[in-house]
Amino acid sequence: MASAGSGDEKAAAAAMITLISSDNEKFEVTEATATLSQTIRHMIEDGCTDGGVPLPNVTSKILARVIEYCKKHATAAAGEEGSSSSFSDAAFLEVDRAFLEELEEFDDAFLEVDRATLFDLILAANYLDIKGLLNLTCQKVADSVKGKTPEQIREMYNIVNDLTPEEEAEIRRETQWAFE
Amino acid sequence: MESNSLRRRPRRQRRRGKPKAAAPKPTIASSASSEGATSSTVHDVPDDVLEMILLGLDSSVCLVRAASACRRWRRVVADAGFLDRFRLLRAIPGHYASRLSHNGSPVFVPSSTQQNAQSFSLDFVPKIDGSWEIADSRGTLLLLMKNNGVTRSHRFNPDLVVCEPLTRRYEAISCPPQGQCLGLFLVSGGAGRGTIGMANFKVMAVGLRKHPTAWDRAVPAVCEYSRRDGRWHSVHCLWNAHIHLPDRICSFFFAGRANGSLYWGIIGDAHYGYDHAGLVVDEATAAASRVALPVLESIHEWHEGRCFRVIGGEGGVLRVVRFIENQVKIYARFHGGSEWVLEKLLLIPTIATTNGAAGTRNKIVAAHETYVLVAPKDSACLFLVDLKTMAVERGQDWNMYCDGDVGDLYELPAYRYQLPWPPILKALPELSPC
Repeated sequence: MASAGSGDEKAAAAAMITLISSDNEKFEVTEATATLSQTIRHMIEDGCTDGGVPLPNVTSKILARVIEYCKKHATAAAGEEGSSSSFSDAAFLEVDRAFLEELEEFDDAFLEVDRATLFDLILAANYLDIKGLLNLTCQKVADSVKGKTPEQIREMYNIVNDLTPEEEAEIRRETQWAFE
Repeated sequence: MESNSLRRRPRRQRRRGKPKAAAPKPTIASSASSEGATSSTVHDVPDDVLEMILLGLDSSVCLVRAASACRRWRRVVADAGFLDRFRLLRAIPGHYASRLSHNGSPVFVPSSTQQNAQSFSLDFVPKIDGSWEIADSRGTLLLLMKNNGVTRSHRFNPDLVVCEPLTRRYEAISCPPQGQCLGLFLVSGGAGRGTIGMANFKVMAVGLRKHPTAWDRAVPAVCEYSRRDGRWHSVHCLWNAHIHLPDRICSFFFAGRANGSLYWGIIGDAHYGYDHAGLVVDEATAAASRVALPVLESIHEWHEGRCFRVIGGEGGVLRVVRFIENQVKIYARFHGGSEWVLEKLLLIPTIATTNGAAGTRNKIVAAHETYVLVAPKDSACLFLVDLKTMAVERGQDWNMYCDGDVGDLYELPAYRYQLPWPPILKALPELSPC
């Protein structure tokens, strides 16, 4: 896909992109890492990445985390591709599983952040269109909501209860089974 | 280089064709962190991302609770598109199957390997001397009956239990009055086709009693268990004077429930002088009558009834599913008509079993308005017929759910379990900003 990378891995690895955070910090990343973001991938395809890619919606703190995620997952993806030709199926599956386990461990550790950072990551993943990161972070929020009562959810996420007492009573009546 | 196609553990697929929606104005101001920079909250997340978050919930209980947090969350969940997507992912969690040879509870077989079977375990139902067998399922409820022993009803050793695995509640109920019983069924306790739940159910027992004048004939007899007084009441059962039925239970096989009625096939017997016919009992009124069903004549033995099911469908259509050899035939009788037509003939492939874990006869495992699940004889796996598309696909292998004792798992029908769905979720009107 990417113009230079398909044939020659070294060339692909050498192609560097500069990402510029909202607070003007510059990050040099490989094209393979950057293209986990569909947004940046499209910019590369359109050839408008010279002089760096400004990301006015992403702070340096969050961008550093996002790049950390992309690096890990880009390596894993490249590793899988590289190994597919040189291993037998069984060995490949073994490697595959090891990769996945390592990735899962990485993801779990990656998600050990406070709530504000988690939402910053969600917004950045959405803006940069990084599907894996968006799924991961959204699922983390969903998991935190599981098993909670509406009151607990409101408390956890600073949600103002804008339902009237009558509406709340009606909801409880209609969906009694969910509140027992 | 396709570096984007990560092979992660399968998380939810994201469905987003539409372009990113602009983040709506936060309903409360983002809180300012100690460094003075604003930090993000759930209020900064656009609706389509909030939708993704809520689609990640694993049960309708969680979803309904989340939808009660505030207007915005409720609006996102109440969206018809959302409910459809959530339903696809989570609404029919699976089937319960009784086990013939096992002492213990029926097993739960989830529809998807993602579904946690443990949360539908029947381990909360009291242990008994013997095993529980499923008599019926309806919505979120299961009706269990003791399948051996002669113990009469007792508070701590009941013969019948109505339970709700979703909330892990059960209620022991007394046995129906003795008599020839054709089947026990859960029906809604409310008027009309209302919802059914632990606080709102009845149990209907359909049986036979002696015909008042003809000694070798029977007439239907229906009684109902009412929760109000914890007793069985005989229900006046309307029947036509010509409804002579054989007086032997073994001449009947239960064929299914469809469009608010219960159906049986009657296996004709020239010696006793009666023909093949269908018996239909209305769930709401208990009115009984004979009905013509197609291909009944091909059934000569009780066990063959397991390859014959009556199901309902949209617009009052009645269907008969017949599974014989490697064919599933679907007959339909459209609303208002009396004629049966062969609607579809489908071939079921054979996948021979390698470990002998298979039924020795063809069987329809489950049949409902939208799908039919069949277990071909000597086959290692089930096949699913999607009645919308009439496509046949290989179903899942139930072996892994029954500790290697699969033979008997395929012998009894399986009972669909449903979540209380769709929940009545209405988006509330937006409050005008004040």
